[in-house]
Amino acid sequence: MEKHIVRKGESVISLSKRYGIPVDKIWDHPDNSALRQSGRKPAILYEGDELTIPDLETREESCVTEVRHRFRCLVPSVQLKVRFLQQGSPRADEPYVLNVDGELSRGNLNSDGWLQVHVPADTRKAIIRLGEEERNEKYLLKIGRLDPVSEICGVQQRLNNMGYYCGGNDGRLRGDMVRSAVKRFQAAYGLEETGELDEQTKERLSREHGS
Amino acid sequence: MTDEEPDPIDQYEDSDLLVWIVPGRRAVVRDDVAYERVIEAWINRLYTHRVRLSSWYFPHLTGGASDPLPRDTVFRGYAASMQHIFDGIYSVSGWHERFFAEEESDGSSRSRDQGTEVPVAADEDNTVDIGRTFFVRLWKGPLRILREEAARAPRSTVQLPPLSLDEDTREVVNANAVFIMGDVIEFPVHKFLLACGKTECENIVFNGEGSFFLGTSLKEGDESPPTSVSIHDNMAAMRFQLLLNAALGAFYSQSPVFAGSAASSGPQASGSGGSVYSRGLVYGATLLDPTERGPNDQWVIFTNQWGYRPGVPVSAPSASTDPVPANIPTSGSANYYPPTLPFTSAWSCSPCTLFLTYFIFNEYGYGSRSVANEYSSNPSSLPQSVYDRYDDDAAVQQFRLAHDPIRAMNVSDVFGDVNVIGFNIPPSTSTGRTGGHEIGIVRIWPHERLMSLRGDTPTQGFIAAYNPLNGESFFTNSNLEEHGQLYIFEASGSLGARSGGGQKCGANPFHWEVITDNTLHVLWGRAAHDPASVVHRLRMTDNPGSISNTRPPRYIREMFINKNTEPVSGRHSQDAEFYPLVIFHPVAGSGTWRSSARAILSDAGTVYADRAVPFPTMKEAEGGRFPQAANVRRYAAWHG
Repeated sequence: MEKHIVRKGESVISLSKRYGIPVDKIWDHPDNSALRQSGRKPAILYEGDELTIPDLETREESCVTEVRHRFRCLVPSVQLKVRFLQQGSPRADEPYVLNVDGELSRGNLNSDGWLQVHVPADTRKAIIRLGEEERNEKYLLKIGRLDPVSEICGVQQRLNNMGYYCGGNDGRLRGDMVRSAVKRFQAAYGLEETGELDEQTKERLSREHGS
Repeated sequence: MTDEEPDPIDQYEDSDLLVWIVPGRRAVVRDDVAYERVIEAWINRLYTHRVRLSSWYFPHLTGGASDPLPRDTVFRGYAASMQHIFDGIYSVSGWHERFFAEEESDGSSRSRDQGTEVPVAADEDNTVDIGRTFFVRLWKGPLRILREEAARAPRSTVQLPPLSLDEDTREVVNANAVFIMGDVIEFPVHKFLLACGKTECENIVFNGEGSFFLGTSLKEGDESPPTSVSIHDNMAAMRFQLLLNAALGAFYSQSPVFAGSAASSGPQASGSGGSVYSRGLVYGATLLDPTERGPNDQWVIFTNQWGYRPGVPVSAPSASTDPVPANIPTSGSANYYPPTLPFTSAWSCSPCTLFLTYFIFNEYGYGSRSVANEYSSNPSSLPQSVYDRYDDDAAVQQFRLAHDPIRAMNVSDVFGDVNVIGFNIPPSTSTGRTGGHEIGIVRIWPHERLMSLRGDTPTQGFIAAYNPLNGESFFTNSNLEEHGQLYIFEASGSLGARSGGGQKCGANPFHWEVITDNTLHVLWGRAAHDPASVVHRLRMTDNPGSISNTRPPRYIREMFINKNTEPVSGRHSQDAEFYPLVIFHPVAGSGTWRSSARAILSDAGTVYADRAVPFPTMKEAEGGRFPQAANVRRYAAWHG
C-alpha cells in the first residue's frame, strides 16, 4: 500500500491510470472511507487529500508454449460531460471543435447544449472552440481540476463556470467579489440573498453545476 | 487556502491611451491598446465615478439643510445605492479575470489563445455558462479603415491586429484584440447596470446598425435608443464632433494629401504604424435638413463642386461655352497642387453657422439651401475685383478703417496667418452677395465635466471635442476647466493668402484653432448681420481671458453656447434627429442638382455603424466624382 498525497488536478480516475489499479479498488479501499464520507468523489479530490493506493494485484495466467497468445489491456477512459449555456439557455446544436492532445474532433452540441465525449483517463486538458471560427470563443477544459464545493476555490470554480464571475479559481478572496457573485447566484435561484456561503447555497451550487 | 488579496478594483488603472468622450461609457483610442487594458481602464472609471453613477442610476434620499432626513435613513440609502454599483463592478471585474485569464504557468508564454479556463470533473456533469459578457462595441477609426483598405489590395503585406466582431452587435469578442489610434469604443453600461441590479436594462443590447453620433448605439427591441432607461450621454458633443469629423477628416488618407508643410502634419500611430492625413471639405456647399424630405430623408452636405452650377461639369470644362463658374479658385491657387489631385468640395463659410444651429440644436427654419440659392442667382459670389481689394494688407487695413473705425489692427494680431482676412465686408452688405463671411467661436468643455452634473442622468450634455484622426482631446488647458476653452470654428476653404494671383485653396479649408488662453482680440465679420448667428454676446464674466478692445465687442458672437440648455430633445422626439449627415455630390451635366445627386458613399447607415469617422476615405472619394486639379486650373486660366 502506498499513501498518496493528492496534488492539484489529480483525481482517483487519473491516479487509477497512473498506478494501474481500477478506480473502485482505490476508492473503495477501507482506508479511504474518511474521504468518501467527507463528500469527496472519485472525480473531485482536493489538493492535500491523503489517498491510500492499494498494492498492485498480480494475476497468473497459464499458457502453453510455442503458441501465440493475445492479452487485452483495457485502457481506461473517462467521459467528459459538459453542458454549455448562455445565460441559462442551452446552446443547442452549436458547432464545436475539440482538441484533445492535438487530436481534433468536430461535432455539434446536442439539443440541450451537451458535449459528451470519451477521452483517455489521464487527459488533463482539452480545448473546445464553440461557434463559428471567427468568434474565437475558446475554453480550456481542465479535466480533474474541479475542487470540492466545501472549499473556497471549489465555490469559485462553480460560480465562474456558471457565469457568476467572481475572479480567479485559486481560493484567494479578492475584495467582495465572491460575496457579490454568491448574492447574484442566490437571487437567480430564489435563495435568500445573503451573500453568505451557507450549506444550502453550497448544496444548490453543486447541484446546479452538476458536480 | 483562503488568502486575502487586495481588492482587484484597486489594481486596475485608467489608461492614458484612452480619451473618455463620455466618461465611463465611451472612449476614443490614442494609440495601440490591448483589450485587457481597455477593460481595466473601464473598471477604474466605474469605480472612480461610483458616487455619481449611484446617484444617477440608483438615486437615494440625501435630505436637505432645511428638512433633514434622519442620518440613519440617509446612510442606509447611500449604502444600498453604492452596493448596487459595487455588485456591477465586481461582475465586470470577475469577467475580466476570466476572459483574459492566463494559464497557470510553466513559465511559458501567455496562453490566451487557449481560451477561458474551466475546471471540470471527469465522469460528472458540468455546466459552463458564458453568462453575462462585457464585450465592448467598436467603431473603427480612420487608421483602421485605411489599413483594412490597404490590406485588401492584391499582394498586400499589411497586417492588422486580430479582430473578431459579433455580426449582430459589432461587439469585440476576441480577448487578443488590440485597438488602434482613432478607434471609438463603447462600453456596455447597459450590461453593467443590469449586473448592478437594474432590471430595466434586461432587454437592451448594442445596436449593430446604430451610431454614437446619432444617439442610436443601443436598442431595446425595435426602439433605438431605448426608452425604458436613460443612459448617460453627451449628445451635443457627439453632434458637434460629427461636424468636426466632416470638416477635419472627411476624406482621410494614409498618403500626404498636400505638398509643402501641410504634408508633414499627419497624426502618427506608434504601435500599428502609419500616419493618417486628412483633407477637409473645401468650399461651396449647402445644408439640407431632413424636414425638407431630401434624398433619403437625411441631413445632407450638398456639395457644389468647384465652380459648379447646374449643367456645368467641371470635370470636362469647355472654354467656349461655360459661363464663369462661381467660387472658382484662381490659377495660382490651382497650380499649388499636383494636377491629378481631386478637388473635393463641400461646405462654405455661410453654412458654418447654419451647421451648428441646425444640426446640433435641431433648429429649423433658416439658411437651408442658402449657398445653392446664392450660386444660382448671382454671376459670381466672389468677384475678382472685390477679392483683389483685400489681397493687400495695407488695402485691407484702409478698408477696415473706412468701414469700422473702432479699431485698427494688424490682421496677424487677430488671426495669425489664417484665411479670414479678405472677407471683412461692409456692415450694410448682406451675407452671400459680395463675399460675406461667417465664423463661429465655440466654447468647449472637458468631456469629464459630464460627471460633475447632478440631478437626473444627463443625456444632452455640452460641447466638447477630440481630434478624430488621433483621438487627442481638444481641451488642452486645464486652467480653463471652470470656464471652457474657446476655439474658432470657421469654414472657409479658399481664402488663404494670395501670392502671384491666386487663392491658396484647400490647404486650410477648415479653420479650427484654439484661442490661446481665451484671450480674445477683436474679431470682425458678417456674423452680426446674419440672423442665424446673432445669438449672444460673449459673456465677459465667464471669460477669464482678456479682450484687447474695451468697447463692447459687437462683432464677437459666442454662438450657441448657453443658448439652449436642452439642445437635443430628451427622447429624440423627431425622427429627423436620427438621420445621419451625408455628403451628396451633384453629378454635373444632367439636370438639376438635386435630382442628379448621388451620395459619395452609397450606404450611409452602414458607414455610420462601422466607422468612427463616417465619411469616405480619399480613395473612396476619388472614384471619378471630383474634378482634378488640372481641370480646375484650366477653368481658372479662362476666368481669372
